[in-house]
Amino acid sequence: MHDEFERLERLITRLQAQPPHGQPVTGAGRDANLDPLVQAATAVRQLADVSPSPARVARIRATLRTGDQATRSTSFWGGPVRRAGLAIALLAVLVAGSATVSASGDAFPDSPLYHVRNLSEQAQLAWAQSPSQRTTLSLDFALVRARQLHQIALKGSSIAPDPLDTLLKDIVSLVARAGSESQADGTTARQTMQRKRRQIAQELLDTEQQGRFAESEGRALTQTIAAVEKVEPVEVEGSDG
Amino acid sequence: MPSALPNELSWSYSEVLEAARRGDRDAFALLYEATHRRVFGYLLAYLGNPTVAEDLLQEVYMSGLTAIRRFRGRTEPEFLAWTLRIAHAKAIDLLRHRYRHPEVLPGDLDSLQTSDDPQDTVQRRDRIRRLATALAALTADQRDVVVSRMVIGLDLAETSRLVGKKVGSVKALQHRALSRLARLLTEQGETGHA
Repeated sequence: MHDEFERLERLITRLQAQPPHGQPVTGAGRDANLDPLVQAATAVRQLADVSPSPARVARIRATLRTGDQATRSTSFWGGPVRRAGLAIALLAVLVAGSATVSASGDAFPDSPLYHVRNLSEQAQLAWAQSPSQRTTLSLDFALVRARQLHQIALKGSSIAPDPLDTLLKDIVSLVARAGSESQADGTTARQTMQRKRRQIAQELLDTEQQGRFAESEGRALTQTIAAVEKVEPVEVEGSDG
Repeated sequence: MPSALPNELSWSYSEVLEAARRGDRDAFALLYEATHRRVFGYLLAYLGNPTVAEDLLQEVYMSGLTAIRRFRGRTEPEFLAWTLRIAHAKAIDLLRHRYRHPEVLPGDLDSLQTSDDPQDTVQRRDRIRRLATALAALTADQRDVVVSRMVIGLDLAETSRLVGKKVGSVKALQHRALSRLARLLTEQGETGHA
């Protein structure tokens, strides 16, 4: 009997490797008596290809993201996550008016919330329905970073290299992504790309003129401006985007 | 088991989990996005009623959202197993209190998305209805093993951890469950159409 368990397991493993509606797996020789079991397993596999209704999926997603029910739970907001949760909620309120960037939308690279901000942006991009929407979102995210860089420059103090490097890399990465997305869409996306790209480049040019940078950071900024001004995605030295 | 995070996402599973643990709901929603189909398949197979399965799906993830800070795993299989344990507990609880004799309610499958072809969809809904009825006739252990292997796609070791039984026991349960299921489906004329 133990041997039969092993032979069934081999057939089940083969079945698992196939898509739910792939070619039927059948035994041969002494495995042929296991065919009815494999057919039953094949039938059950159809359940792997069934989804809940899209409306319900979307409703649950929205509930999870807004946390309407979660906020009523004292356990979620108690304990060590309380301060972080409140900070995220507060930031979400502060940036709610600026539309496209959700919670942590204005966190700087030297803030722990910058990670959360990146994650929220990635989630928005992942859920965007079309290349055109992804183009717009990517450029909006890049523009917010360009404006943040400009704000830092206007303060008059020298800019720390790490946050500057992170902001520049992210700008290049986001603009490159927008360039790729806009190629896959129609004229509207390409027009959006052109318009917002000019805005981002202008912010960076203003920053270059008004800020005080070390030589290497100034060079990185110049390279970023050159990359943004090109329509095609361009890699900046040291960029991982 | 390949990761089911959206392709566009450049974050690793452990990073998403870490953000979710810190209270980021967008991150948790991504985890939901990556796993909800398999959890729904589990609940549907277990309960045999898609409307109830959808309701419970929401409860499972809302419970997960409030409990994620206590979750210590770093990988998708770990998160999926953790979520399935929540689903299992809720399904058992529901069956114990409200659905001692689960049955598929006619018409409840109409909202299910199974195929782009309407005719194919009708046929598959009928098969799913009969499958759920047959699965409901198995013991809880047998159903857990079959669903874990064939619906969720877990391997033997993962199934063993999920159901809390040794690998050898899982193999025996799998054989008995599929034998019984084959008889039930043959009586329904199902396997010949699978």
